[in-house]
Amino acid sequence: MAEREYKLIFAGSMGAGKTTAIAAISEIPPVSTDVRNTDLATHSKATTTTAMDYGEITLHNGGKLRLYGTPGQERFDFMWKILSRGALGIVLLVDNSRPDPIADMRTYLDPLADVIQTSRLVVGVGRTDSHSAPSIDDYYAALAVKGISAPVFSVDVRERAQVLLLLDALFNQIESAERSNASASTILQ
Amino acid sequence: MIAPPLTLTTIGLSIRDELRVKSLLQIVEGKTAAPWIYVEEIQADLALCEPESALARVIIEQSARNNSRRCVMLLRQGAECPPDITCVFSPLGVRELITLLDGVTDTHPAAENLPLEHPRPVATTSTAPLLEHLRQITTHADGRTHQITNGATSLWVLPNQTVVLSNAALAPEHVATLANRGDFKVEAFAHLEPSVADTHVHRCPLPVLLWNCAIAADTAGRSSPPSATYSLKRWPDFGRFAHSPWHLRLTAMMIREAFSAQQMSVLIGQPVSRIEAFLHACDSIGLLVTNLASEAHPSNSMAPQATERAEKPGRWFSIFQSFRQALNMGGGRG
Repeated sequence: MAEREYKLIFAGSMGAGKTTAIAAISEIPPVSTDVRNTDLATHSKATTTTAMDYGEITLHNGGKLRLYGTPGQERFDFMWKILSRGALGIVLLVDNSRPDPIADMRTYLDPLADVIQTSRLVVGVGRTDSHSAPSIDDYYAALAVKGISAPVFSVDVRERAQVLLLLDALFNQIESAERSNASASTILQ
Repeated sequence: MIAPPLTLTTIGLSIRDELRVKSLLQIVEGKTAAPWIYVEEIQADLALCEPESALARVIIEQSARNNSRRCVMLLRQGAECPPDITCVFSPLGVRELITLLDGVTDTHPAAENLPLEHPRPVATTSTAPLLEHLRQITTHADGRTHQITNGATSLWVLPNQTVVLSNAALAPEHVATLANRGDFKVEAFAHLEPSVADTHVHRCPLPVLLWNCAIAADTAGRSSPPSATYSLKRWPDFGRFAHSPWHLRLTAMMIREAFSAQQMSVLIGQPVSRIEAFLHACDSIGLLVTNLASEAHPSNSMAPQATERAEKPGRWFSIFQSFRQALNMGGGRG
């Protein structure tokens, strides 16, 4: 990747809204590798992403913020690690109407651990209006078990403002972590 | 008036098992010691859980800590029940479900203590702001429903369901107006009259109303002690709560370190009154951690260094500013 290019990853189970979220903020029509969904037992949506989604945003200095959506199905999990290499952060989307959305979230925590470890994670939980359980507290409890501290918000990724909320929280989280780490390094020296 | 029904939910069960539980619950209606209803809420009196569910494990841990929530595992025939866990076996039958529900009723504190008839509603009128009324209802909750009225606005607060029903949409702007009014009439009721649902069609989660009320309320006369520092247990759910971009930046800092209101004001570039409103909002939903100087919290002695550090733009600052510009976001330094 050339200089001044940055990569953000949108991960999450099938139907969680990764393609929608990228479409909400990308300045180009998202490039998708959607095919007909043959895994109707997992989700009833008509199509699903098999390799990745791609969108981009041009920065004022000419740089690019590249947006990648991972394939939702676990059989493509080898793609998650490939896509997340060198990523600035992870936006993990969860569908609260799924049978066990917390298990869905946990599926991504280990494969994406290299990026997540450095506080570069934000979790967006969809469909909380119609499915109040599990609660946001339950997600925090599940993350705490893994030793992860990350923002978790109820979101509707069809709204651009809600996708931007996830990004802004992620940016602030990374900045704050950097300051704390710098402080820890100073004290250790 | 009859005691409210106990609540049952399922966690992680297959759709087939969940439907079976719902159907059985209808069949056993009138045959259990106390009435039961099915809810889609994790705070139910009883949860039937799939053993492999990550959420079930979380609930069992919480249950052990609080000794309050009940999680019963629904196991396949022949499976081994883990120690210290209550289990039932699939397929669940009518007799087993009645035994299970009545077993919970026998030990349920609410069922033991709840009078069959609640006292008659008591009305009070007060000049206290709306936030104070809401906090009293939630912190001293005896499970009763409360109606709060002010002018044409009528709110029904259901603390057990953490929901508020209103006769007008509770948009943040309307809540901001209500938050700074006085003269609220508050009445407690044993249950919700069915006719309320016809007139109060707007539904708002109680934490959202608490937050939006606190963030808009006038904080004059409620300043925090200068020696106190504050941090946060976790991020408020900004997906639902009214917020400004600087709230995100302040939250990211408060998750990691404690600051005084004055320090936050300098770092964020907002008046102390707005910082105080944010602190009150976080406190109203139980996320604020207050450290008083007398507690000799380590962050007190580190606070000046923390302030200095937080003021320095890091290496990501200019990069994220360029992202925010490109995305037309209002974030960044205030």
